[in-house]
Amino acid sequence: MNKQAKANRANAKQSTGPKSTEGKQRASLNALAHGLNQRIDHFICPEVSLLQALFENDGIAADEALALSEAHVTRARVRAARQQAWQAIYGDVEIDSKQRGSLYNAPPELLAAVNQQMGGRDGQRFLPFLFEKPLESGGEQDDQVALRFLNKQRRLNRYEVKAVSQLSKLYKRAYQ
Amino acid sequence: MASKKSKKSSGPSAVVTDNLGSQLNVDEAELLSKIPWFNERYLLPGESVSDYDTSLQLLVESVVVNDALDAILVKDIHDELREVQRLRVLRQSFFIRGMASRLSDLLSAHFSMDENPRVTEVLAAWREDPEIGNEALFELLDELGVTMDEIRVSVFTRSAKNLQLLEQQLARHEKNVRESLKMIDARRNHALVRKRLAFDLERDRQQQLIDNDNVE
Repeated sequence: MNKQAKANRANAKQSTGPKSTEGKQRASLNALAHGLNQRIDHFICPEVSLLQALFENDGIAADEALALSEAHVTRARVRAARQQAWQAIYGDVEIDSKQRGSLYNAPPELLAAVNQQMGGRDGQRFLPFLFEKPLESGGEQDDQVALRFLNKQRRLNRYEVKAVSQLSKLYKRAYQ
Repeated sequence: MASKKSKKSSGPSAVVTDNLGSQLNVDEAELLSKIPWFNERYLLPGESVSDYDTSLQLLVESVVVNDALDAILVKDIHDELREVQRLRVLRQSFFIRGMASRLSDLLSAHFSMDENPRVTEVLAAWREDPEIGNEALFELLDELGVTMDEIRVSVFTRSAKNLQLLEQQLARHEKNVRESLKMIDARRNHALVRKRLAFDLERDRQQQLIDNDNVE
């Protein structure tokens, strides 16, 4: 570690934390992993009331409609957390540029054009080829990344099980 | 005035609601376009937007989306199915990667790569298409007294932990799809029962009117 980095770390240890309101708000999110244990805030998630309106239009009582819409939002939050876990694979694995496919990280427009040229139905065929790239180089490192990813997905299961079973129960009760 | 505006409208601007086409009325489509996660395409680098849209469109057509709540459940099912598809690709990559590494270790330990270029050629041919049996590879393995099945077993044993976790995830997502389908069914059955009740009530009312007329 160079001299400057050491000095920065020593100075940072003397810090008494953020002073401004924005800084405090930002720092309050430092320890946030996925936030799935938090209650749904209707100000942050205005879609709860939109969904509630849809269920109420479907003849469901207001309290049941609210519970249903909250369960849908919880399920969506778990999906977003799962997506983050997938994206982390791409950050965890260092890919040799020679091993990257020509379409790796290509903009969506280019992929759409290629798909169109291939007749629009061959996306499935080249998806595995492209997708395998991050974990293709082999070796222990990739196994570790895969294991870390799968463990992360497994830890998210309990939130999803809770959301889906809650949703199932509510649907059964509301539409019996 | 409102009708003029609606004629000029190019429909909902949100990406996923575009795929639902004319199945939804304007109000429902507009409402859905305000739900951020509903309008998000969950894509990874290298995955194609048009592929996502095509598969969603196919599902929308096969399930027959009647309203906004159906659309939300169908989008859930679609995203779960894509998750299943990704996990299957990952499972395939575990096997292929493991096989490639095991074959390479085995052959390079017994044959000198420089003196025996056919080993390199055989491995390259196998990597080209691992699904198809490769006679030249089988011949080399015969010389070593090893079968492909033995290699597969060793790969499976090495990746057992990963595969077990992966299978759990697959089962989880497949269950989610079944649950979402049940939710769609529950709504549709409920709608049918409501229609039937409304029909019965109307029939009773008509019968009552006829009876009243007869009495008079």
